[in-house]
Amino acid sequence: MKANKQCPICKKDIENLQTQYCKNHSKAKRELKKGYEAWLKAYGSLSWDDFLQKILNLEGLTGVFVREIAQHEFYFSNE
Amino acid sequence: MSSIETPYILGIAEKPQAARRIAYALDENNKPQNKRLKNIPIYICKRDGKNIVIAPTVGHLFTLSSIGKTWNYPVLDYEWVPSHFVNKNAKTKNFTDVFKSLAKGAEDVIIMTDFDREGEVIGYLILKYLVGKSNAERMKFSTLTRRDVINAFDQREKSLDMGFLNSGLIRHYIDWLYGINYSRALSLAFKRVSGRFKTISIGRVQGPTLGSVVEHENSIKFFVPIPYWTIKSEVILNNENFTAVYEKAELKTQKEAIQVVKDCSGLTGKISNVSEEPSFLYPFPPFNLGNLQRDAYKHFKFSPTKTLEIAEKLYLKALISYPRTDSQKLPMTLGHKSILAKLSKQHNYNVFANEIIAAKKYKPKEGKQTDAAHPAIHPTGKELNEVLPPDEKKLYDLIVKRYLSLFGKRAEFLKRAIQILVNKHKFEVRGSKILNEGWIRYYRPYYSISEYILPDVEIGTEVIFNYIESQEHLTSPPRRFNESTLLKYMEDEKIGTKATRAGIIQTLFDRGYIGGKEIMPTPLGISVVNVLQEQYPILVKSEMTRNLEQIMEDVQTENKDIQGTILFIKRELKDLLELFHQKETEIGLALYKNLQLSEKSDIIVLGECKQCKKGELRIIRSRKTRKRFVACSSYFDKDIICNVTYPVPNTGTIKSTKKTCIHDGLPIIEWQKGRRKVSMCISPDCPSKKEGEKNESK
Repeated sequence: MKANKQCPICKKDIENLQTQYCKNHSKAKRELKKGYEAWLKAYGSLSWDDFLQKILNLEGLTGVFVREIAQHEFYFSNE
Repeated sequence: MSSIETPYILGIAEKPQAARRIAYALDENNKPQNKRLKNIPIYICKRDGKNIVIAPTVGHLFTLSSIGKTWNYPVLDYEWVPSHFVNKNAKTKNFTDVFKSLAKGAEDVIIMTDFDREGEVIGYLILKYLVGKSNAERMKFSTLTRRDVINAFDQREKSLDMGFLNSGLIRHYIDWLYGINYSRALSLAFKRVSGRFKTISIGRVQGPTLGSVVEHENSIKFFVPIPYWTIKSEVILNNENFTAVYEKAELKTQKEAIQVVKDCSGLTGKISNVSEEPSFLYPFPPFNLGNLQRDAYKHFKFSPTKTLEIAEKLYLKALISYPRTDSQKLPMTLGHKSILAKLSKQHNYNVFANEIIAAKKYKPKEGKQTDAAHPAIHPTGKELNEVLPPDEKKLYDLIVKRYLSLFGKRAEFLKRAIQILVNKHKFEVRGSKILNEGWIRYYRPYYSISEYILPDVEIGTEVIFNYIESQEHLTSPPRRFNESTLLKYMEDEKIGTKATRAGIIQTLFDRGYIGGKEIMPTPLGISVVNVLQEQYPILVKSEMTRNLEQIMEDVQTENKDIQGTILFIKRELKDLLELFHQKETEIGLALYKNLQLSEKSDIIVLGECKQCKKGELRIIRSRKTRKRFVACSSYFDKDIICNVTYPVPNTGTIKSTKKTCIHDGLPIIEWQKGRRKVSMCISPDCPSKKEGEKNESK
């Protein structure tokens, strides 16, 4: 039986094989990118890593899916 | 039975307390005869030379049941059967027997149940299946005061309200059809894939409500906070400090915020304008059920279900009008002068009631919403013959004060703004002076205002700033629903009716789909919604239930043929279920996978069990009580059966810290509720708890 591709964060099966993450974490990544654009505009300049760090420090405000993707992006992504 | 003089008119009341009150009002001597049949109180009164026997029910004595015993779907044929046939715990058998027996001596029947859809259905089913008639006279009243009950008797209708009856009946049929078919379809889909049976129930209104809670939770889970800035400043006016507000409430960029501070620092401002304008505040509209439930939650933290229960009790004591109403209207025919006169004799309200009477202003403020059957909730003014229990007293006070406030004058203020210009940047100091408190005096403590007096200043005067600084903020995620805001959301989205919304929320709690005071969907609730959203979205969207509501309204208002309508709905449901059947395996598989994940995520492993040294300690939730506790996984191991358990807080979130307590070696958990976060040993006997020490960990 062919093994399904799994989301590296929650280990759920990924239905759309074009994406890296499951449905929820793919959506969270889109939201995170939109958020980065807003932060960039607000501060004038801000690196992706600094943004992720700031987002991760905002416990209680950042949504749990966004937090998980930010954590994964911060520690494991090569982007 | 032999002691009741026949023939008589049989009166069907909705509750024992209502039967008693109606009997006392109708009896010419205020002394109805009280008897007990099968331990059910019945009242015999005399009026206009006739005997009237009034017997109570306890809500519905009949329920819908499927014809045929197979456990499959679609189920489209049903019949009304006595509730105690279906639910062995229903204590309705004696009531059923009493009506059967009283029917024999009745020459006429008067329905005296609450005047709404449910009241009509309750009366009709007793009439049809226990008395053997299809129509009867109908008393319509909105309060149980003597005056209203006698009026309702004298002006009783010759027939039941067919609009209400048909709309009530069709509501029962539709809810039953959707509830039973979809609950069976979901449970069978799960069983076919997993091989095990699990009840997964969903109703036509529960589905969209649960869907909304999950959707709302998702908007919190996907939330990214965005920064913005505000300018904070303080000025000195006539040797006093005042907060000044910057012309833009929010600044989107840091650069702009820094620029404003840079432009203004070290400079003095100049008063460029002083403006004054009168402002008015009018009383809030009278209470309908939704408003009352929201305000009771706001002031007393009563859940909507609790508010309705208390309001029902006050209604049965004839202290307030019928609470299941959408109306914000209080027609003059209610006799406000008389109600106010009675309230003026009640210690807590005499001052304000007398003030209104002296002003001779008897027309209350009204709202826009209407209800065909009842006016807005209002006090009857009936004397309080007993000391009310604390919760009833609170709700009664809120209702009376709201009612009194409707006769009050508008509140008047003088709003004042001092504009200060600094280097082209505008700041404003705002204040207000109360000129007349008006209705607010009557409505205290449920509404209050404070004034902020500004000094007299002249245009052109120089103003010194104590400071001007920028402050960074972050946007916040949407707030979770509480019972009150969820109720409001359902009202706005037209999900359910005034009478059913609170019950729907309670059902979602009872079924373990949602939890918490700040309402969160449980993993089970999320799983069910996720599967349905992907495979069968109609059940979690509000369109279907809204369309059905419209159909039911049409049956009431346009007198649409009930048989034709139900046939149409059955046909539509059959098609929808056929679609479900085609997707049954996919739905079952998705449910199975999601529920497995949700069951796993319900379990938090804390570490090895110190007692059996084989199993692991896990936080689990009892399926029966929904309470959390720590238990050993070896409980299910036949060779060990380790039954060690530890209590943990039932609310808030719990995380494993992977640390152990220095006193007893048991796991330390981190418990968080709101802003409070505590690390604690799971043992209730841990010395660290007794000594009040901080938990130390290895």
